[in-house]
Amino acid sequence: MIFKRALSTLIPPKVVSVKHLTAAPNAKRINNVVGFYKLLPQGPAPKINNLSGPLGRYKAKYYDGENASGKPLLHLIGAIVVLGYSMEYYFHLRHHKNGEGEH
Amino acid sequence: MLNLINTFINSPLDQFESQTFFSIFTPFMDMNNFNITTFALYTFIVLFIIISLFMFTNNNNMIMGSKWFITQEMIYDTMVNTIKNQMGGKLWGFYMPFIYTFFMFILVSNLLSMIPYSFALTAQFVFIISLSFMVWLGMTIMGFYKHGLVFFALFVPQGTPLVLVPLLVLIEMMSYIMRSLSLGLRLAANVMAGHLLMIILGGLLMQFMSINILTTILGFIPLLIILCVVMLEFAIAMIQSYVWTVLMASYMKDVQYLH
Amino acid sequence: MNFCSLTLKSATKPLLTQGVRYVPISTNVRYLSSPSTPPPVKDPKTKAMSIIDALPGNSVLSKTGILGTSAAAAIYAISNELYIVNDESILLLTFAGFTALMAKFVAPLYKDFANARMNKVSNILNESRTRHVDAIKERIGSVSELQNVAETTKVLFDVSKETLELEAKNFELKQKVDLAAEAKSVLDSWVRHEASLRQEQQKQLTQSLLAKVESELSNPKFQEKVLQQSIADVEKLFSKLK
Repeated sequence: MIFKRALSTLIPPKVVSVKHLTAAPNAKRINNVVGFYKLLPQGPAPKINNLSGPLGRYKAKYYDGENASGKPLLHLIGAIVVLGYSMEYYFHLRHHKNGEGEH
Repeated sequence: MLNLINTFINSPLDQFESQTFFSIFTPFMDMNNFNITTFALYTFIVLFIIISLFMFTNNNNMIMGSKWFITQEMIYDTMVNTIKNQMGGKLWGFYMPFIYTFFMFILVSNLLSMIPYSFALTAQFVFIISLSFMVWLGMTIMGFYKHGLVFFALFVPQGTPLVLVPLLVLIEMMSYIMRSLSLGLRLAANVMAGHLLMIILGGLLMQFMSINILTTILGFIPLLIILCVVMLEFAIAMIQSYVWTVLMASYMKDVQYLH
Repeated sequence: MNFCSLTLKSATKPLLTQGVRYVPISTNVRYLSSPSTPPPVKDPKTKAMSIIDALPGNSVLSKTGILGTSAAAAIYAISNELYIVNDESILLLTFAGFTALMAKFVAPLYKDFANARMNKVSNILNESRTRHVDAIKERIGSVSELQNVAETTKVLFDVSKETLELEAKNFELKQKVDLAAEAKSVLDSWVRHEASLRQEQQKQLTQSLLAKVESELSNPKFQEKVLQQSIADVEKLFSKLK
């Protein structure tokens, strides 16, 4: 009888089945991995830009990836010089034109 | 030619003067504190620069930032190491963002002030000293909150003979209170001195160069000296923001660990 | 003005030419005296070309146009005192020099450093990605060994079916054998029982016979009869002997 019971667990042969394969913890992990890879985008990464509008275009031109350069610093310097000079002109310098305002 | 050149002499301190662009007048109360001034404008510029340094440089949230981002990483790394070394223990991480924020603000405003016709935020004594006083006051309150009256142990160095304790407590307390002033004074005085030096040298050179053509040509030699001074001022602008950070971290350490 | 044209690319051009474009005013004031006087260079033509290249615009015509316009604007600005030359102008000059120096010497260094750093990081990331891909491929290989598992299972199933049938037959035969053995044992026991029963009967029979004989023997009539018979026998024997 013992022999028979041992045989009954063997028959039908449980070498592999779909349920058997997915029930194993390792196989479950692999399934997760497969799902993960299915979710991943394929091919070369698309050009994305977080910002839109002129600011986004400026960013794409001077900040992103290979385009990164020091030009924004120069733009900043230029902007500050123009702003600062115009303020200086408005508040002080125009009052001293032609040596009138010597004081 | 000479009449094209501005011959009047401005006060060198003119550059630190802030103008009011927009103000609110009410008959009921003084609204001067809400004025939009040069100071406010440049504060906003600094804010925009700092935000852009973080928003623009992260390469659209990719794993790797752009070349700009490496500067950010370097600054962050330097700050982490500095604050870690200064404070030690486990608490440095809590105060790192706070001190880092100060560093970024001071660094950016210092460098921004180096641009000609710009405005030096950090040379405004009222602003910088009230900033340092606020920091000091906050730290003191935190020390009392954390340690209670044991906080006064900060004023007694370890291994003091009992006889000297009253004197030392007095001296230490004075130095502790003076921190509130010295922290800001150091920064503002350095920045202001630098800008004054540059503008005075510039003025002198201007006068010299406007004498005749020969002096105009000769004037390019002192111009190189001023160039060196400008470089020095750039170095000072960066070092002073770092010094502020180091001192703030060490004060924070005193408050947190009391010795 | 022409400020935006001051690019990093143009920063590789000599400092003094920067100064010209940066603060055209101050040079004009000085009758194009010093910063604009070209420093001794080997090839003035390439120098000029590099200056022209630094300007924005596509054709030489538009570039000269820009140059001319900016120069005119500078002269106009100064003569109308729109730009007023004062102390800060010197600082503007020195700052421009500083910026040019930075752009010329520090920017390439930073670029190299940043590129090296980014390469390092991206190499690490790429390496880990390829390693991960390899690991996944390995796993796929190990799993794909089980690819024809369905056929194997089918064959094994057939085998198991056969085994089962044989098993069933075996069981049947075994039961038959069992039954035969049992029947035999029952029959045997019967045989034994009957044999013992017969033995018993024989024994009783002999006993009863003996008892009967004995009882007969004790019977005088029988004794007489036996006696007579034996006598008759003896007589017969005697007669024979005679």
